[in-house]
Amino acid sequence: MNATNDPIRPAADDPGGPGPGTGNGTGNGNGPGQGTGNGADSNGGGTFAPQEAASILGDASAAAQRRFEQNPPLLHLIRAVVVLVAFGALWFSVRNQHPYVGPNPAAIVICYVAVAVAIATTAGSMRKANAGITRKDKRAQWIAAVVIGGAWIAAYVFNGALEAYGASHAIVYGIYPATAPLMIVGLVAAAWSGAREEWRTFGATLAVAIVAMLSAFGGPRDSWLFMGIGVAAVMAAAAVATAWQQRSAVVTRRA
Amino acid sequence: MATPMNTDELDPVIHAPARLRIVATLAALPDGDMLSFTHLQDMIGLTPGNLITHLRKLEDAGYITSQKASSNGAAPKTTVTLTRQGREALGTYTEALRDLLGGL
Repeated sequence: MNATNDPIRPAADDPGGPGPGTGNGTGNGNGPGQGTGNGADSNGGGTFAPQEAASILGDASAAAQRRFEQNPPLLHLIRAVVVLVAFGALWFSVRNQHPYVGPNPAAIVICYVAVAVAIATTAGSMRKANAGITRKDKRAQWIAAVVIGGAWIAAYVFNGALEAYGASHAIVYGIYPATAPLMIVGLVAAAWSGAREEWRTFGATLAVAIVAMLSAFGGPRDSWLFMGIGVAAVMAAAAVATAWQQRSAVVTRRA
Repeated sequence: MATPMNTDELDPVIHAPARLRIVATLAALPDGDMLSFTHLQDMIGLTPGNLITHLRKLEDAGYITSQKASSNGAAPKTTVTLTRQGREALGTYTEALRDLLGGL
C-alpha cells in the first residue's frame, strides 16, 4: 500500500482521484471561488447569517452523528426485544421445574436464533456506520473483539469445569449460564470502553454486569426472568440515551 | 429593523456553508479517523470540483489533511481527516457563534 499526501491538488496522471468539476453556482457564500459555486467563496461568507450558520452546523453534526453511529437507537431496541425473547423462552421452559433440570432444547434453539439475529443486525449496522471510514485504531478494535470474545468463551469453559466436578444442575444449567457470561463480558467491555472514554458504552455494559450480578440472587429459575427484563431495560435506556444525545447536540448548537 | 450582526470574529475559513458542513461532518468522527472523498461528497451533496475547492481552502488553513492510498493495484482512494487544529478551530467558531447569537 502506498500513500501520497496532498491528493486534492490537481494531478494530470491521476485517473483514480477526484478531479476538478463544475458546480451550479448557487450558494450562500459571497462569491464563486475556484471554478465553482455553492458557497465556494474566496474570502469567507460575508452574507452568511449566524443564524443560518447555527442551523447548518446543527443539521450537519446531527446527520453525521447518525451516519457514523455504530449503535443507533433502533439497534438498541432490537437488542432489547432479542434479549426479552431469548431469556423469556429460557425462563418459560424452566419456570415450573421441581427439581430443576435446565432449559429444554426448543428454548435453547430460540435463544440461539435470537443471538444470531442480534449478531446479524449488529454486523449490518456496523458495516453501514463504517462505510468509507478508515479507522485510526483498527488494530485496537480487533484486540477488543478478541479479548471480549475470549472472555465469553472462558465463561463457558469454566461452566464445563463446574459440571465436570459435580456442581448441581441449578448452578450448571441455571444461575451460572443465566448470569455469569454477561457479567464477565459486561465488566470486560466496561473496562475497555471506560479506558477509551466511551461513556455511553461504559454505562450500558456496566449496567448489564450489575443486572447480571443481582439476577443471580433470583435462583436458577427466576434468574433467567430477571436477566431478560433487566438487560432489556438497559438496552431500552441506551436507546433513549443515544437518541437524546443526538438530539441535544442539535439543540445545543442551535441555542 | 434588525441590526446586522458583526461576523468578523467568526473564522472566515469555516464561515461558509459548504465548508461548515465539511468540518462539522468530519468532526463527528473520532480523532484521527479518515473519511473517503466519495462518502464525504455523498454526505455534503457537492460536486467533486466544488468539494475539492473547499477542501483545498481547509487544507491550506491546516484544518484538514488528505491522503491518497492504493493497494494491490486497486484504484487509489482519497481520504480526508480533520486535524487537531481544525477541531480546535471548529470549537472556537462554535463558541463565537454561540456568543453572537446569545447577544440577540
